[in-house]
Amino acid sequence: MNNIVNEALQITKELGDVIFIGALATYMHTKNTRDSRDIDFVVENQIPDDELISKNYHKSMTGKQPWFTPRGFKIDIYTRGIPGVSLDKIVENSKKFTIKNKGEIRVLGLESLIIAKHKAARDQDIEDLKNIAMHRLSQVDWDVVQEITNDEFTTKQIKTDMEFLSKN
Amino acid sequence: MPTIREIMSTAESGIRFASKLAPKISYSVKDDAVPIAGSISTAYRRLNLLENLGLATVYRSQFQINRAARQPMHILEKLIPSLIALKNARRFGRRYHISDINFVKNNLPDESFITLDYRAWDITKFQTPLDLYVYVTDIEKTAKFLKNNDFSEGTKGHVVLLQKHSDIKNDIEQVYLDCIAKGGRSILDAIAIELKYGEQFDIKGRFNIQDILKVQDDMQTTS
Repeated sequence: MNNIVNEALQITKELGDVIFIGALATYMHTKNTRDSRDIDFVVENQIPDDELISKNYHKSMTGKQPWFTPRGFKIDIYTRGIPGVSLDKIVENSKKFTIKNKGEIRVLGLESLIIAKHKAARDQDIEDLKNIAMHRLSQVDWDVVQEITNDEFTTKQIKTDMEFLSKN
Repeated sequence: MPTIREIMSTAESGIRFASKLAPKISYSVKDDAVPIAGSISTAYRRLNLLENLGLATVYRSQFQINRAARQPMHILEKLIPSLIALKNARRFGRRYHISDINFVKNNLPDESFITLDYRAWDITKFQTPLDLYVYVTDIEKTAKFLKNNDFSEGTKGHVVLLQKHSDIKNDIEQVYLDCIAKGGRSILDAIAIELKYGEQFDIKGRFNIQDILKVQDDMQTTS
């Protein structure tokens, strides 16, 4: 995962204060996950194609034509909210991590990450939630979860599931 | 020892029960299981059948269903040895670092077989590995060897021992079945294996179309 973290630092230097989501966010909160070597991040304002190209980012000619960093990492850039979390809440609850003497990266907050993964609930999301539950459950601020979901039933369900996953 | 057919026949009512549950992360015995099973005692009987096969985890009045239970019966039958091996898996750690994995890789017992994360990574390069899962012929002996080398048994280590059930005839098929049985991120490995080596085995699991498209896209895309 170290090369993904280093790449996230480079992206931050090149594109500014982006917010990393997905496997990288899970890794930063738990230091324990697998990744498929693609990097997903959210930006508050869309980055024009010209700007990406001027910074040596390039588009693939295959598949869904995703972007690649100058070092060949596939990236997905989100300009809207993610399932269960609005763009405003992603920004408001994001968290900065310092990478040993190299700089900082900004990552989806723990509570937003849990909500998004709980909403998606694919097999890989459930494994990530279990990972988070085992390593970080005591640090979850349930008031923040409630503030983001704005729904007591959903918050209660997430809490019940996380407590169960932490024990199994 | 019961045959796979006998195991499946015993577990059939449990599997039918699991197939009626709406997809959720965790379930309440009272609110989710009883309406399907009819009573609390029947609910626990069904869950016990599933738990014996590693298809359910029950804790107090809550439970979780392994999504492998949603595979068609003819696939589930093939998954039984993997499910049982995973259910009885033993996890070890020493420094909780890559060095633990390197140590075990350098001291693999005879006739051991690496599966899941590390094997899937070797053959697909799709998802980076995390835990070293190894089938061994004598799990007690290997566990003792690890403990003699300062490993502790617990829930957070990255070395996982599995009891080898029989001769592994088709390596790739075995890894594929283990990935489906384990679930979680290993489902993506199973899809990647099927996309890359599908012609080398006849069994085909049932996967979510969005997951297939994601893996297909990630594997096809090159910069």
